[in-house]
Amino acid sequence: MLVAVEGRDERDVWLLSQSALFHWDGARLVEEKGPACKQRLDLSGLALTRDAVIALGAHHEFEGSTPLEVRRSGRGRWSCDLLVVHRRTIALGPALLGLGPDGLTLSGLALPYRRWLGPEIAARTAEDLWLYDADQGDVFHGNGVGWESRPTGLARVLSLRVDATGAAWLVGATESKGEGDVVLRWDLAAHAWRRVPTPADLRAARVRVSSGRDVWLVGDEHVHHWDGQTLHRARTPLARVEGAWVGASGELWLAGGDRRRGEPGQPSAGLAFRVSPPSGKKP
Amino acid sequence: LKHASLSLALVLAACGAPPATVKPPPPAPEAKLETPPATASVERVEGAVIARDAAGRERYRVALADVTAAVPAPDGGAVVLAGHRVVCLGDRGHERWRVVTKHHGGRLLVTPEAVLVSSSSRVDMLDLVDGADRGAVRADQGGVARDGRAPTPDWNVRLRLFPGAPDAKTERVLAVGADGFVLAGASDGSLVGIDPGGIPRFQLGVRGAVKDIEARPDGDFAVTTRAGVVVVGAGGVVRSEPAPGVRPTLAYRARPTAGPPLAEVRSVVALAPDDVWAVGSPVPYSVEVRQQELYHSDGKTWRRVDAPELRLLPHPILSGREDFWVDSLSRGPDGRLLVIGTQLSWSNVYPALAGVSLRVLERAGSRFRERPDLAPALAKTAQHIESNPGAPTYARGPGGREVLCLVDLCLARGLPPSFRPGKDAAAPVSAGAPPWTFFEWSSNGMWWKSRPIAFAGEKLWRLDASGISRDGEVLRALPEPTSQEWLMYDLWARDEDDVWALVANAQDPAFLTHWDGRAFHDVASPLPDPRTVWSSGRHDVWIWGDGLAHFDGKAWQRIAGAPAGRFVPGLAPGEVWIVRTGSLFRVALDPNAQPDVEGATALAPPAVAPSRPLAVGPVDPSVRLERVSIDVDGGPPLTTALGVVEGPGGVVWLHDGHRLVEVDGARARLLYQAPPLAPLACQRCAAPSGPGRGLFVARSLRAVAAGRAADEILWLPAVLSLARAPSGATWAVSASDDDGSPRAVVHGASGLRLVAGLPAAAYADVAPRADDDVWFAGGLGASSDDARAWPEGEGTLVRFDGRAFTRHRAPDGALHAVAATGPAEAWAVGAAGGVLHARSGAVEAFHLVAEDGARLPVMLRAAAAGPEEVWIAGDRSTLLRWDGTSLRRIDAKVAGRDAALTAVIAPGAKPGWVVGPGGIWRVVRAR
Repeated sequence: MLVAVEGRDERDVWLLSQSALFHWDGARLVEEKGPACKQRLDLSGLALTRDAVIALGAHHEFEGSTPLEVRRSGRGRWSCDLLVVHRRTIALGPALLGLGPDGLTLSGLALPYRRWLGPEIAARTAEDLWLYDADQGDVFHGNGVGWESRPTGLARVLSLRVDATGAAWLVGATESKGEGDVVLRWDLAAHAWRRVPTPADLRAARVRVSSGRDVWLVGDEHVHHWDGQTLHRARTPLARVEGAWVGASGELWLAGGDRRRGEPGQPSAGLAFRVSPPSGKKP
Repeated sequence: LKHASLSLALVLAACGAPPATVKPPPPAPEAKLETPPATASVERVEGAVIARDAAGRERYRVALADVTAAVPAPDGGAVVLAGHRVVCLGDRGHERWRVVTKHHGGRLLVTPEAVLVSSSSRVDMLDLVDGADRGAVRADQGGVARDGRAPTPDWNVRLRLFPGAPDAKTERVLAVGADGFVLAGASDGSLVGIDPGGIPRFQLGVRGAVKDIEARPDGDFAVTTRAGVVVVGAGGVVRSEPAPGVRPTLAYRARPTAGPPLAEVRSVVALAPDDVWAVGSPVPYSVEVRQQELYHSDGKTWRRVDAPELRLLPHPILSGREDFWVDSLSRGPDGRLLVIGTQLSWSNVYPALAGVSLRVLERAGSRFRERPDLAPALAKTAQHIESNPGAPTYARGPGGREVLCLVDLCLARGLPPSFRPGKDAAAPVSAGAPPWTFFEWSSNGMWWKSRPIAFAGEKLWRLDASGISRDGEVLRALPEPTSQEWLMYDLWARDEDDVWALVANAQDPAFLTHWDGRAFHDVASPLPDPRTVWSSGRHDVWIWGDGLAHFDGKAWQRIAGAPAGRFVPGLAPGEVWIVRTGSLFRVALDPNAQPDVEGATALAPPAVAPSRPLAVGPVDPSVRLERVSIDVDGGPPLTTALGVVEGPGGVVWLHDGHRLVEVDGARARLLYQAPPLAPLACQRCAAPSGPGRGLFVARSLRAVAAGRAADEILWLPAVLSLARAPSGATWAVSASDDDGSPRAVVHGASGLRLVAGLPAAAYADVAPRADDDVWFAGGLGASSDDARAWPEGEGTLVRFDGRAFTRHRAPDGALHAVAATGPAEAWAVGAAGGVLHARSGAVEAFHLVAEDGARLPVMLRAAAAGPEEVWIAGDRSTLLRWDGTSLRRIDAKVAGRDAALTAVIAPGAKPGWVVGPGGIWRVVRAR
């Protein structure tokens, strides 16, 4: 099963399974030979910088899990590092933003504000950080020197992404269980959340956005595309979605497996789909 | 429902009672209760209450159980709160009525018409005649509401906090006065006064979270916060404030020398000035990276001492092996170094320890060995504890006396045969290694709690859960601690009539007690979080913990600038040592200490009127921003900055949190590079005094000389801003919420001086127009995130005129920046678009509004004075210019629509500067 997908552009897309890394160069998919880590790997996330591919995971031990980072540098050199403390890492252009119990670092330099406000992070730049907690409705924005609460009124915020203009999009839920049923967009001018009109039966867990005219909502049953005016719906092509990425063209990549979570039978096989916007900008 | 008084910044809305039906606010509630005709007081005794007349004679006694409050009633009777019951007694003690309430405990206040039963967030009102329910006033996160009973209408006042930490939680308390006036307080130190009709009448702030409010019979309210009790009278007049705490001093200086390169120093012992030992971990401790190393200093250089016995297992869990965890270093009876710790046996069955026992090594020549006289006895201390039991205790006394304990199992030698470890305890027995004896010294304390021991002369003292004991006899029992969290005991004995004990935990007020040979004398801890007490004599007592304090036999003083680290007793009277990673500080009197800058402190001002709107006009087209990138010698260009400041001769320094640079045309030279994980945690972090020289803040106040960062001048927590006065003196302010820490210091040609008398607050900025015209801006509260502090709560603006401090309130929240714009004139800005303009003693408070009148609650972070103008910068790309008549917006779209602008230099003959985490811009005149 595939657990994550990230890309720099449509000819440089990386797919991750729990133990292997694959690269799509626009024509074919190739498995990358990773490092022989001493520990057994359980990979779960990807971060791409301009020069590096970083697979994030854990090494499970008797007394718990230790976060682990597998890094492929631009020259194809691999490293395998156990991280002493739990942290999340996301790519911000050429830099890596680290989120740990001691605060935020950008390319190894501590940012001057540290308050820990939520485990999930989305960012456009280090001066435009969004922290949220999937189990809560709280959202906090960091502007490089301080945090501001941006309450949503929702019970949960499942996924949040920032588009190129700095507008944040989130899918959240009014109930404490199930997938999200509300999509909000941060209105920079009004400094307030605006509700995106969605059907009452919307169910989504992820939002991916390249611009205000290419917003994808991914759920177990359906994938939705918002073009700024209309919401289009299609059936989700995977039984189980674990990762999603959208490129500058608006094309959505989905990674996951062919069996639902908890479904009996053989282990789930890895699947990846490319989903084009309804406008047909790209096949 | 809108009403004029609803413009208080903290009031979101009030509804319920129409204003037309509301009586005007009552006059100031002077003490109007008539003198009770007969019962002057009601005394609570076990199982009863006793009413007494003015002469103290008993009028009647009524049996009542579970009484928590009892007060006289106006007619000579009494009202009693007993369990959940309120009982009204007549003037002969007969019961008039009783009702059951929701309160269990709380306060009673009796008015001519009603009985008010209060808990922290709810007041129930009962009719004095028959106990009938007259409604209740209650506070919750959203505000204050009254559930009325006719004819009193319901009302609901929605309140908010002062702007502060985005995840701040709201807790409210309230009290209702005898005249029905309500005072509500909150966790941010805000107070809102609401009249009986539900109309908010005033707001003001106090320092610290409001924990409790008591309505007094005279109409005043006693407001309790962490800082103490503030008495608030009618109209928001502050009648009294908490007395200042222990005064800080700069008379002592911490002078650094090289220290052991240990990330975590566990213990240090100085056997002589040229024979100092330290043990600790070279990296932050974790189960994955368990290390301990020993270092020795010959007074000049620290060198690692190889000791295979001290190596720890890197992965001990389930290993079934053993290793030696060093807890402390000490001087042995023959002057040798002792290494005292626990031998840990790791289970191979379950992830825990299988057992522990004491272990003691001694230095013999260039090696370590088991202490031969003691080694055969150590097995006696073996016990089954599943995790590291922490500190073994060791004490050495005269005549070869020694005692070692691991939890409650002790080995001793030299104790008198009469010694018993507690009343009715068995005598010590042979430990199998004469002359060592063994005994169990039970204290009923949990095994992880400390049990310090010390010899006072020939007597063995111990402090544990049982109390303070001497030779096993408990001389003083201690109250049961409210919390076991951070429970800390320490003991220091110099002689039989000079013993100090320290007791602290997370909840109760920490205190010290001194035994003078006849009795204990208690004193409140001069530190908020004490850990260690040490003394070289009655006139030289030191307390270390969250800071350092000294007692000279007359008064306690907080040692300003004492660095965080591990305390080491001094080698001579009048000195102590603090050791931390790479540094060893000797703290002693500074022969060159300068006298304090003294100013008289005025009482807090009364509540102020709400701020008025200040409209932001259309974009000012006369200036524009140009983004710049500054090449830095030997490093990447500087493209963003958090601070920019101009010094004499036009020298400009910028910093981005990691690099402090001096600009020279289009290039810059590096003055200071911060460690990667320790960025500059301040606001106006630097104050140049000329090319290549000045001061800056990097965890401590430091100098720049000849273009390079020089030595530390003073370690001071939470210093946020520096500013240079025309005299050449540099003023520095701190936002620390520790009342014992200096809030401001001045560095001049003669050295460093403490600013004494500055009102307690968290200061974010300082603007010295002259040394007798200095402005301080901040908030009454403070918060921090381990990286830096910032002011919160009500804003405060203070002026120093060379003799006294004058205080002004900022009703919209904490102030973050101030600019002195003329003699006795300043502009201060801060949270929620709050602006304060002070001139010649008068202050006007404003809040920003857009052209359509909508409030602009934006965080304002910087203010700068220019020729006949004031510049203001803040979040959401806010850049404003006041030209003396109007406030205009400067187009800062080039920074983005949601950028933080953190510092500004007004343009003059040369272009100005605006910086933020997203860029650096010059402010140039538009063509």
